[in-house]
Amino acid sequence: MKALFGRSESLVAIALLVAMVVIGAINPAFFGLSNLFSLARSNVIVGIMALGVLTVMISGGIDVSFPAFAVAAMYLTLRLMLAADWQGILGPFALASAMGLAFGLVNASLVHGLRMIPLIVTLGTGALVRGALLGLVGTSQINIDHMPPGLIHFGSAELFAVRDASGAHIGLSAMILIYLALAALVHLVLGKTLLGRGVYAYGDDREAARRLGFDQRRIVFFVYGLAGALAGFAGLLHASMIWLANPRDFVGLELDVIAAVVLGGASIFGGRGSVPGTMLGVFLLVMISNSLILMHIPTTWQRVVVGLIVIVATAATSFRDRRRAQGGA
Amino acid sequence: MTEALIALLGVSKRFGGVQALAGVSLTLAAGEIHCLAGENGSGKSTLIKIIAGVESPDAGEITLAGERLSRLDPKGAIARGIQVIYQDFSLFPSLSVAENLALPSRIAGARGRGRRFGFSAGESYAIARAAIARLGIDLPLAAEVGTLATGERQLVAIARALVSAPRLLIMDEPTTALTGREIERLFAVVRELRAQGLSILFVSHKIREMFAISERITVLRNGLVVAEGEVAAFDEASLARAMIGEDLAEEPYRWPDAAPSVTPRLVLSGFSVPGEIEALDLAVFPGEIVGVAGLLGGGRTELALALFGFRPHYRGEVRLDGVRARLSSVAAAVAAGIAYVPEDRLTEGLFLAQSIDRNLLAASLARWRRWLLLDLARAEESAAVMRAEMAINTPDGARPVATLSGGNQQRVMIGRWLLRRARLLILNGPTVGVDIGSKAGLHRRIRALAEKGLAVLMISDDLPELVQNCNRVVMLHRGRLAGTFAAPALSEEGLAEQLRALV
Repeated sequence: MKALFGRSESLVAIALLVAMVVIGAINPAFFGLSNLFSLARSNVIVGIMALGVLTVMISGGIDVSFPAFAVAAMYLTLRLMLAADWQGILGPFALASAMGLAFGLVNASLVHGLRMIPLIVTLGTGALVRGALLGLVGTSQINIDHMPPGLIHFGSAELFAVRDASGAHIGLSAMILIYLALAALVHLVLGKTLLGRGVYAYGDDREAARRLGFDQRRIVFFVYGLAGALAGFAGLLHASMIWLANPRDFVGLELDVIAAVVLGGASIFGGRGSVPGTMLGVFLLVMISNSLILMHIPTTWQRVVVGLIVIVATAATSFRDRRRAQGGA
Repeated sequence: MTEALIALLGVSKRFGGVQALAGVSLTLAAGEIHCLAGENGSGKSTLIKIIAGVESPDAGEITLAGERLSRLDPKGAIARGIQVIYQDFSLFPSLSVAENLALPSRIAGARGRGRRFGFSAGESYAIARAAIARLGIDLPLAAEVGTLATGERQLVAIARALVSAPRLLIMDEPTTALTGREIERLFAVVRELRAQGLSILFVSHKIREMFAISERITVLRNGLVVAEGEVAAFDEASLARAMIGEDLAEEPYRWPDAAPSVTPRLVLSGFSVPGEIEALDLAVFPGEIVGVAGLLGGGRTELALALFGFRPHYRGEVRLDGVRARLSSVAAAVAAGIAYVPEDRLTEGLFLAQSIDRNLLAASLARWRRWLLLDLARAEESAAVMRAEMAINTPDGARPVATLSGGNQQRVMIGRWLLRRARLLILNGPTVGVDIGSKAGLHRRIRALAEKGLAVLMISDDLPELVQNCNRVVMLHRGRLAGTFAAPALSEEGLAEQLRALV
């Protein structure tokens, strides 16, 4: 059935190509270098978060708290940097990831220790963290003139740049390298380590995994911890890339990310999903919602598009799983 | 006796208010097939879980190949050579056969000899190939387990257990989902494994299987060992008595022939369903229990489904108490007084998470309607009366129906239809998965209902069940009536012979 796995990914790839052709036909500007570079750049933040959500979903759980964790890790780290006049890159990113990790482990201990339902747990912790951030730390944006210059410099790094006919600067953000490296890492962990295969097994049949001696606690702490850490990292990266830290950022982002992961073939019931599929799903979602302007559709319709994608993708995966089940018995 | 591989001494376990095991001792020699017998709820499952390290005992100790342990964990049990094949197989449907086979040994390996985190596909294929070679079978290693048939899945489960070269293999009711031929193959595999030196703990409540496969038997009842010994020391009656704690009276059902004036409850004339049933004529009188025998696919279940309104395009005539009925939908069949209890009550009948009372009342809610609202007080009262009448073993009706044993769940299903005032009760495999004690109780209950005037159609594979409970058995083959056996001439041998003659 490896072929089927391959097929559900190639299905997304085909949908991606079709969408590209359609959008390009409506507006040839789509294939312009500047648009393509900006698309690639838009994949980075959603994509990194999606890697964590994918892992949680394979384990049979769900996480809607990560946008709150991302914004909290980003804003707290930056406020600390400003207060302490701390100029660093690695350090702040490590701190933001650690904060995300800590939040994620809170999710994990509630899910594992108290046997609570992941959706409710993460709804709760997400609201809590977001609310506490605004209430205790502040609501004011950190603008470009206050942002640590080191981070801005880092976030603006480019792989290469060209000048178009009018002489405008078009660069490909180097941040996609970070995204690709993290994706490769998660792919490796999920596919080639015992812990990763344990995540699949746990999502497939929790009781069976327990009977075989899988360490359930380690699996639960790993998936929610990873989702939190990736969110924290992505949060700070986001601020570095847009030169702005807004404590009200990322509202509603969980829907986009979950939509992208489901679009990439992951099952909400656990046991299924892959990094390449998720990356394709992220690309398709980001591309469609970013191209509405190119297609002369008002951006106010963006949420409608995302909602439609969630429903269509979920219907497609549940159709696939039903077909598979019938093929069995 | 050779040296004991595993010895349990005075093992006890409590769950809340229930003493699941009370000082159980069990000894298993190397290379022995030992049968752990007992009814559902006797403590068998708890004992298995303790040996497998999934549950830890409150008291007692386990001696495993000379090593004394007060408790085990799943990894520790596996590392010491204990493997359990659970009733549900505990496989991972989304993973490949090869991964299913290789994962458990890698988990066990990840503990002792230098932890390794990597897990490669090539390695899992090598492990998997070795495992199926030992069983002498062939399995598609790259296939996802979710796409395999039940028999193949069980082979995967057995092969997986063998990967870690176990010394003790525990099989929890392994024959439940298997056909006769698959059971034979399983027994052959079990004997082969014993010949390779494995000890096997075979858990069952099916008496004939125990005699067919085991060398020693330990019988559990209510968490206590009530009998233990060589298989030769038991016979079917003494084993049954040990399991249920009382003798089973086995007197056949007698139905006084109805007076000629009585209207039959059900009359089928020229009843046909295209491709399934051909021109069937059948009459069932009130108070009769009519058995329906035959091979799978011969028209037994098809007849039940057609009568319950699942085949709206049937031809021919159906009369209930002399009145012509049109069974065009389930609702129409129910309105005509027909009730159907399917074979798989867990997936087709019961609302498992809902309470016993709600399940009882599910079909008859319209009876309690008063204007727009339901008279819940009266409904609950009726449910309580029905619980008593069906002798459902529960302290109250608010518990989830999933907490009941198979026999009691079946009583809930029947009670539900009695509350709906069913006149014809169709039972499909009424005691599949029900242990012998409650089986006898269930049979008594069905007979009592028939004696009060209910008409019953009993579809079953279990010939003794048909012979003991039916005053008449009809045999269906290829959708046609292939024979009728009435009470005095009704015998297991006669039915078996006729069944063999089919095909």
